[in-house]
Amino acid sequence: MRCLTREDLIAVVNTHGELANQVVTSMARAAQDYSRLSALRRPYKILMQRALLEFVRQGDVAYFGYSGHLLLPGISHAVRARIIAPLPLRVDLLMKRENLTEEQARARIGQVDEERSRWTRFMYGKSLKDPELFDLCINLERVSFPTACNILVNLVQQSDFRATPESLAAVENRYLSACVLAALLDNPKTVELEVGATAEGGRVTLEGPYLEGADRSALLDIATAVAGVAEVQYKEGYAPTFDLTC
Amino acid sequence: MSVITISRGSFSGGKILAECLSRKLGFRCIDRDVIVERAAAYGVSQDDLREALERPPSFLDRFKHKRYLYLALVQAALTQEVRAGRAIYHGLAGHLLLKGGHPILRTRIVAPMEFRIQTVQERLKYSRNSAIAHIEKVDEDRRKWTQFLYGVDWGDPSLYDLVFNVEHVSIEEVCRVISSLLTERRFEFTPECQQKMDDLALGSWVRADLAINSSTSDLELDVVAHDGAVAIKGKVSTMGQIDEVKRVASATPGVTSVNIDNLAPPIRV
Repeated sequence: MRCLTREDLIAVVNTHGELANQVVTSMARAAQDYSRLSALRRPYKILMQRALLEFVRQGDVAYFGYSGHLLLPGISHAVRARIIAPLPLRVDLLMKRENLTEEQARARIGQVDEERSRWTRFMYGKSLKDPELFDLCINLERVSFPTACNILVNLVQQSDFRATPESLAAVENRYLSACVLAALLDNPKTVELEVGATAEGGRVTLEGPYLEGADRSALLDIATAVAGVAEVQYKEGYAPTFDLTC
Repeated sequence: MSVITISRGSFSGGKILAECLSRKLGFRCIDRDVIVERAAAYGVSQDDLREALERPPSFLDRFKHKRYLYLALVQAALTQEVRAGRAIYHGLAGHLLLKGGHPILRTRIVAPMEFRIQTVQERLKYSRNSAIAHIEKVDEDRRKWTQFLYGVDWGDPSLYDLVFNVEHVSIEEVCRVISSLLTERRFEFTPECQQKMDDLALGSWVRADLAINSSTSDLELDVVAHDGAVAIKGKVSTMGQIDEVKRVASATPGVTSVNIDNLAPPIRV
C-alpha cells in the first residue's frame, strides 16, 4: 500500500500554476484576504480531489492529510479514519521528534489544531472533530499504535471495505468528473462558470445556470475533449458546484 | 477480565452491538434497567431513578440533591455489576460513571440519521416527523445531562477509546473488531487495574451509603478509596454529622479506615 501525504497532492495540484501554494499562503492571512481565498476554494478542492483520485486509481493508498475523508465521497472501499490523542501524549511526541521545549510543543500543537479546524470549516463547511464524518475514530490515550494499526488493517481487509467492481467504477466516475471540472477551470472561456459534473461510464452530465449558445458550446467542447469522456450533456438547474457530500 | 462501555445516540444500534459482543465474548450484557433495579435495592423508586437518568437537570432544578442521591446509587450499582469484569454496559454515561483510570474499553456508536429514523419508525411505529422529533429530543436530553453533570460534550470523541460510525461499517463488523481487541487481551485487567476498579467501587458504595443514611442524606460528598482506606471530602451541616459520616463510612463492607481531615465543619456566624 502506498503512503501518501498532503504534500504529495499539493505537488500535483501545483502543476496548475502554484494553485495549492496560493491557497495555503492565502489561508495564513485569511482574515485580510477572504474574497481572494474564497475564489480559490473551488478550484483547489477540484484539483485536490483529482490529484488524490489519480493515486487511488493506481492502487491501494493510505493518505494522511487534512481532509482526505471529505475528498472521496461515495467510494465505499475508502476507510475514513481519525486518530486522536490526549494533549500530554502529543506534546511528548512532538518534544522528542522536534527537540522542542514543552511550552514550544504546546504552542505549536495549539496553532496547528486551530489552523486545521479553521481550514476544514472554511474549505468544506465541516467540523474537523465531528465523528460522523469518519468510519472510525481511535483515541491513542489507551490504544497503542500497533493496536490502532491492527484495527485499521482488520477493517480494511474485511468485507465492508473490500473494493468491488461497483466501488472501483465509482472511483473512475469521480475521477472523470473531477477531470472534466479541472479542464473547465483550465480554460479561460469556462473558468468562471460554476457547474457541477457527474459521470457514469464515459457519459458526463454537467449541471448549472442557463448558458447562451456560444458558452454552452465551449463548455461542451472542452468537456468532450477530456480523455475518457464519450458523451456530455448539459442540464440547467441547481447543482452543487463541487459535490463532496454524497 | 475486561469491561466495555457502549455510548450511543438513541436508536443507533448500541443494544444490538452489546448483544453481539455478549455472544462472542461470553460477557454479561448490562443495560440501564439492570442498574436501576439494583440501585432501587437501596430503597428508592425505580421510576425516580429512571427519571434522574433520563431528564436533563437544569440550573433551577429543585430536586438537585435528589439527583445527586440517585446518581450515587446508580454509580454504586454499576460498579457492583462490573467490578468482576467480563461485562458490557450499554447505557447513559457508563464511561463517565466508571471514570477512574481502570482500563474499561470506552466505545461509542454513531449512526446516520436515516438509519436511526428507520429504526424508530419500525420499533415505535412513529411517523417520520415524530421519529425525527423523538431522536432530537432524546439526543438533546443526553447532551444536556452529560454537560451539566460532567461538564463534557457527550459527542466528543476524545472521551472514548473507539468511535465507530455504522454508516458504512456494519454492526457485526464493529462487534468483530472490538471482540478481537478483547481476545487479544488488549484491555485485560492487570492486578493494578483491578485494584483501581475495586477502589472506585468501594468509594461509590461509601458515597451511596452516606447518601441513603438519614443522618447524612443531606450531604454531597466526594469519596476516594484506596485499598480499603477511605478519604471523604466535602461540607457537613452540623458538627454531629462529622461523627456520623465516619460511622456510616466505617460500616460499609470493605472499609478499613476513614479519613475525614478534609471534611469541612459548618461555618459559625
